[in-house]
Parts: sequence; structure tokens; C-alpha cells
Amino acid sequence: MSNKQISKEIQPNDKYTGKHQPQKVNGDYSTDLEGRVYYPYLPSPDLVEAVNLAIALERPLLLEGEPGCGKTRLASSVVYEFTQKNQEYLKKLENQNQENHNSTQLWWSYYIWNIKSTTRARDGLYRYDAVARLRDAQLMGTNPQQLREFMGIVEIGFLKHRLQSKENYREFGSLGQALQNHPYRPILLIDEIDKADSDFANDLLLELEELRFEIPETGEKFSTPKNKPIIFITSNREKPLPEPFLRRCLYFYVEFPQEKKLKEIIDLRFGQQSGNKEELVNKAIKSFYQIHDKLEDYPGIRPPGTSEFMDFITALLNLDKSEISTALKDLDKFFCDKLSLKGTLLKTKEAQNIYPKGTENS
Amino acid sequence: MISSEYAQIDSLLLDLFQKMRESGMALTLEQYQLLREAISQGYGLGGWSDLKRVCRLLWVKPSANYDAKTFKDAFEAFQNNMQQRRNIEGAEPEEQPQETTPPVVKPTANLPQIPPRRTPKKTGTPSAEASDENNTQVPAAVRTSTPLEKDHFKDTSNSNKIILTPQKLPIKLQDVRDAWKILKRPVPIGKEYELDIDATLDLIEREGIFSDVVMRPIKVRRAELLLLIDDNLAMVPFFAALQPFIQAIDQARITPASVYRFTSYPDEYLYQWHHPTKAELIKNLLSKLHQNRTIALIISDAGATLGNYSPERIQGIWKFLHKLSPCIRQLIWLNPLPSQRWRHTSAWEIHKILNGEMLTYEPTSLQTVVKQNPQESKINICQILHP
Repeated sequence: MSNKQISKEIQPNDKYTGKHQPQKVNGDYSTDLEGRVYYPYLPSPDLVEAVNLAIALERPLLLEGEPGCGKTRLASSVVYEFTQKNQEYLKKLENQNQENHNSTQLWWSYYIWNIKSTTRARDGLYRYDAVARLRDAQLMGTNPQQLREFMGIVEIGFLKHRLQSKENYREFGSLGQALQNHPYRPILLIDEIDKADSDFANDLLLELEELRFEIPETGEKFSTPKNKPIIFITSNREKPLPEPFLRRCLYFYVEFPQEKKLKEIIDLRFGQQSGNKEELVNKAIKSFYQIHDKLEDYPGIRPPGTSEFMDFITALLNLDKSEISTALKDLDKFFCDKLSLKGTLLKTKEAQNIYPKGTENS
Repeated sequence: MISSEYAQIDSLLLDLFQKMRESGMALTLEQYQLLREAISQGYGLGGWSDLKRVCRLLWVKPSANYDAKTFKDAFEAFQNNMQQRRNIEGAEPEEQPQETTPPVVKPTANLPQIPPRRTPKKTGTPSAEASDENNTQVPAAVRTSTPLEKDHFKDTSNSNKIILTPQKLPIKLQDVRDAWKILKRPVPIGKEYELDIDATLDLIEREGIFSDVVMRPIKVRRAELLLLIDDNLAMVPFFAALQPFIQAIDQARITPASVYRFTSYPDEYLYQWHHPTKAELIKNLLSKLHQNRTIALIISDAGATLGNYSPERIQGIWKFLHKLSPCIRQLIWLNPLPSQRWRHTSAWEIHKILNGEMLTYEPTSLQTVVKQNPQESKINICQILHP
């Protein structure tokens, strides 16, 4: 009853603008309760529209693009913005559930499901630990005397309690958690879906389409939640995704940032620090684009992405004053000497060999 | 007023949707519904570019059926069409000539390429100017031939329009890579089994007691490619189209892999693709293949291009396949000619030897064949031993 009243008072605002950027506090970016760090993120207007459309149409948004161009970061950027915008709403909601008032920031629900080559669709929904249940059952069957010596009274109590219900042996995965009822729309990130088996995406069809699932082991059924999760899926295009799956998603290709955008990103991310070393940063951007354009033409070599460039800038900005002039010279000579810096941008021996050659030829 | 506007938009969207489908986007009704929903929520109403962006977001996917380029072309065509129609409604006399001009311009642009081909034929020669001349000189004879001429022109100009660009080749590098990824999936080998712990646990769960272990066939994820390309003269024009395979191997996207060439049929030797003078004894080569790993891919027209029936070729291929098939996991034969052209040629016989498994050189056939279970598709050469 009172819950309803609240939701009438304040509605969560789930429109993404890309305008809320995390600020540095004491030299670090804000982290949520699980220790995830939120960095600034500058989405293109097209991407913002794509996100809002995906939210409005309740469809998953499939993101593809060059590695390191910020596909994964987008989801956390949305989480951050929603957290900021709806702080009041989240606080009220929290107060309803618990009486204690604490001043820490509350975060919008955010689930991440990292896909590995062995991940199966079911793992995201739940895991049922049949082995643990079998072990518990066998323990119960042993001699009580021995059992008490082995576990102690308290543990045995837990054991008995655990065995009473099968539900104690199932654990929800990220997708399973996101599909439970929430007072607002939680955000789910399915990261690098192309890493999994080729049937993986097909196995997810029902869950993504109808947003409901069943657990045959315990006989539980979870119907479609009222507040459907906002789902982001990223893919590096290592494997083709099946068509029925694609049909259900909105698709957006994240472009590599243009030079101007990259400068903005750096200013935002490094702020004051980069302002002092303008010359260095500008030169770095220039040589970065040179590297990127050169390597694009080589088959089998991946040009560095934005994330690599951020590492590179961090490395540059951490240099001592005395080293800056040598670094500048080094950039002119395309890293002929400084191997450590080169390694942040060019990750393979082949790429490192090609790069100076490529520039000499031009 | 508002409802009529909506109706107008609706009919526009429906037109757009149908145009997209006609031009090869495999859109479903659900996707049309999605667009309407987006529009009704206020997306894509800010003009053509706005609508285009929303449609692209909803409809373009990384798949051949939802290709970005197809979408772009179709959308632009639709937009031009609509704008033209609107212009015509507004100012008819201005637009009329524009519509008629392009067809006139096109043939003249293609003219220089056509005449040399047709010179031997007497009737077909005249170009546009020539026919004009004829018009004045021998009116009766030419007037009947001009409409015919035009038809001819259309045909030839169409065929002249084919410009070979890598994008237009049937099988692209991406298709080859996709196919290889599927081929590399784990497959059961032989009759070995291993303990399936999950299934065993399930069984215990179901029956309440431990009764038996569950076994499953051991699967191995290893594949090697043996690519054999026919280099007889009739195959030479197709080499450009085979490039994605060579490229994928050269770029080490398919490893391990080896490419060989043969002429019409492999006799005793196969020749390395990049070094055609280096011969390798087939006998030596076969011993390096692996029954559970090697996938042999043969690309050959099997004599369909020239349309001849050569018992020698059939015999040669049959002998080779007979030797090859026990040593490999799967045999794939791609023929760059359409299947209608196989009939009455050696290709048809070889198609029969392959248990009807000869395929056309298309992404779809490649996709289906790589998804097949290798055990099923293994060609039973022994059956054809005594035809």
C-alpha cells in the first residue's frame, strides 16, 4: 500500500541523456557497493537515441564495434546516470524496506553477466548445486555421533534446515536476478556474448523475448516482471549471431571516436592533469591516429582502441617533468626507443615491427 | 486532422516496410510493429534522416538478411521516390522530363563498350547515332528493327553493368570464417565414452538412489582443412571468387590448412597452390590426414563449364575420392556453376558419386554443409564401386 503511494509520488526517470558524468572525489572515481568503478563516458547522440529507443521498446540493445571503443562502458554509464537522477527515489524506496537511515549513496540495480566460452544459457539464470544436496543428504544418513564430532551442533542445524527445501541449493545468475520483480527497471549487461558456444544465443531466446523462466529442479516459475530489465549485450563479432536472436535485438555499431571526440574524452577523464601537458596530449593524439590508420590496412593486426589509448595517456601523464621532453622526441620518432610506452598501444610483436616501417615508407 | 496524419504516416511506413522486403531485407511483421511503436512514442518523426536512423537501429543487423548496405540503398531509393512523387504532385511539368532522361543517358554511356562485340552480326551493329543515320536513309528497314535493337541494348547494357568488386562475390571472407568456426566445433570421435557427471547427478536426483553412471561420447574440437582447387582452364575465371578461401588461409584465420591444386582430377600428384611447380605425391599426403579432423574442400566445376562428358575425368575423380574418403572427416565439394548446368556433363556423374552432395558455390550451401553432422554426410564410395 505505502509502496504504491511512493511510486505515485516519485517516478523513476529512465531516460538516458549521457550528460551525467562521474566526478573525481579524492582523486578516484566513484565506486558502487560492489567496487565497480564508474568512469566518465561520452556517448554520441545516435547512441543516446539507441539507448532510449531500446528502453522504450523494451528490447535488448546489441552493441558491436571495434574492441576498446566503449561498448561495455556504456551500460555502467547508464547505471551511473540513473543512480544520480533517481537518488531521491532510491532513498525513499530503501526507507520503505528498512527503517535504518544511512547516508551512503544508493545504486540503481546493475547486473553483469560475463560470458565465457564454457558458459551455458542456464548459468545466467540459475545454478542448482545437486552435488551439495547429495552430500548433505548423505551426511544426514551417517551415524549421528560421528556427524556431531565432524560438524558441531550449529552446523547440523544449518544442514537440516538446508535439506528441507530444494530452493536452498539454487543460486540465481545475473540474468535470473534481473528477471525477478524490481520496483524499477534494473540494468543487465551481457558482456561479450560471442565468446560462448554458437547455440548459446539461441538458448536465450525465450528468456529475452518473454523475460520469464522456470527452474525444473525446484519446480519454481518466474513470470515476466512488471518492470522489465534494460538489457545491453556486447559482441566482438568473433562468431556470427543467429538470426532469430538478432531479430529480437536493436543493433548499434559503436564507431571509433573522431579526433575531436577523443580530445573531449581525455579532457573529461584526466581533467586538470591533461591541461598542464597540452602539447604532449595533442602530440599523443596525433600519433595515435597515425598508428590507428596505418594498422587498419594490415590484415590480422588489431589497431589500438580507445581503452588502449587511455592507458597510453595515463602512462604519459605519469612521466616526470624531466622525462617529458624525451617523450615528446620519442613520439616524433615513433617510439624507436621507449619500448614500455609502445607496448601500451601495440600489443603484438608484428604490430610493433610494422609500425615504424609503415611510417618510414609514407 | 491528427488521425488522418497518423494514417498517412502509417501508410508511408507500410510502403517503406514493403520496399525493404522487396529489396531483400528479411523483415518480419513484428519488426514493422516495432517501428510503429517507436514512431508512436515520438521517435523518428524529425524528417527523413531521423526516420532513417530509427529504422536502421531497428532493422539493420550484422547478417546478410539485414544488411546495412541493402538497407541504405533501399531507403534512399524509397526516399527519392517519395520526394519525387511529392514534387510531381507540386509541379508536374518540371519533373516529367527528369524521369524520362535517365534511360536515354544510360545506353549512350555504355555505347563504346558494345559495338566491338557485335560487329560480326550485320543487323545488330548500329549504335544510337548510326540508327539515326539509318532512319533517314532506309526508313522502312530500320523502323522495325529499332524496338528490337532497344531490347538488345537493354540486355547487353545490363550485362555490361556487372563490375566485379570483391563485395559482390558469392562467398565472402566473413562467410569463410563463419563456416570454419562451425567446422571447428567439438565433434564426437570414434566410439570412446567419458563420464557425464551432470547427467549422472540428474539421474540420482530423479531416482533417489545411485543406480548407474551416465556416459557420453568424447568430443574433440580439432579440425584441419585440406583445400583442393581445380585449376583447369575453365576454372580460371572463377579464381577471383575463390580468393576469400585463399585469403583466410594466408592470413592464418584457418589453421592448420593446406591448399593444393590439380587439373581436372588429381592423378598421382597434387601441386601446391602458391608454388604450382612443387608436386606432392598423393600417397604421401594421405598419410598426413586425420580421419577425425581433416575436412577436405574441393572446388571444381567438374567439367560443367565446358559442358562435356569425360569418362576419364569421372574415373579419375572416383579413384581419388575412393582413396581420400577413408582418411578424412568430411568432404565438401563446391561447384561454381549453378546446378542446372551440371546435367549431361561429367559434373552430374560426379554429383552422383558424391551421393548427391555436390553443392553450388554459395554461402547458403556452405552454411548448411558445415552444420551437417560429419558422420551422416560421409560419402560412401564403396557403394558406387560397381555401378
